[in-house]
Amino acid sequence: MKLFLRTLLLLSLFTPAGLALAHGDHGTISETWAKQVAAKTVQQMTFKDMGHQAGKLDASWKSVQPSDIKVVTVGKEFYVLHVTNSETKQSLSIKIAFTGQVLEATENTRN
Amino acid sequence: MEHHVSLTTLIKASLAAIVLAAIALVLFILPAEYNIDPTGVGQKLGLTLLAEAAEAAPLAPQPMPDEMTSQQVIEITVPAHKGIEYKLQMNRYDKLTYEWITDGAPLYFDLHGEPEGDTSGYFESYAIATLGAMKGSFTAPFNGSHGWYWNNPGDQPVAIQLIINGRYQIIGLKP
Repeated sequence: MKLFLRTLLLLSLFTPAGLALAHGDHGTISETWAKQVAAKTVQQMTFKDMGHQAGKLDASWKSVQPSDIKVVTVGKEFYVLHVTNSETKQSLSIKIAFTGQVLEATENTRN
Repeated sequence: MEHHVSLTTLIKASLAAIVLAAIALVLFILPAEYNIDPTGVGQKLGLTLLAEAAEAAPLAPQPMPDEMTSQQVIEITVPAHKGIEYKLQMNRYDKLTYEWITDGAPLYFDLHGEPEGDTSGYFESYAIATLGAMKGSFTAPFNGSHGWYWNNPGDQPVAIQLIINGRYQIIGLKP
């Protein structure tokens, strides 16, 4: 009986806390929103090195248009987008988590 | 030191806790959360107003745009040992999303709004901190000018890139 009561007490202590913490996560951003994040990231990368592999981008990237940004991969928990610089024909791959966090920005090598 | 509690005491304590929880549920929790008030105590304590307010004004879902919305990029420099103010004209309930970064050092800032036509010098601060980057959004609580005051206490000028999106008209740098 004591064991039963102790178990009940433990359950009553921990179950509500578990439920309260269960909804603390973000939702998944849409592809449109991922493009928005990519556009903003490119602008920031023209301002300074944001710590990504591609480093600081030159001023020609400031004129990137929405039509220059495409979602090329939808992974398990991330998008990969390609951003093309129509002026120089260079392109970037930007990996964005479903939470909206920019994970990587790498320059694509030209063939 | 060992402390033994008899089984009878444990059962009594458990039953007492259950009874108290049930009383709290009926008197306070059901009226406040679900507007269920069988005893009338919730109404007398004003708890049912909480549930009514929640029912009357459900949180509007954040609209996710179907198309990319245009963002505006502004670059400004805060001279060493100076402060500058960059403002936008916004009407009440206009929404703005923003993100700014500096090229290095953190800056003291005050994101605030000043009501249109007010001559008293009143302003309402929405955020004050010393940071090297910030991202957020706000809805203008009144018609007027809204924006940032940045102060650079350092010996070198600091550049800021501000990216904004929303309903506004740029006033720009204020003297």
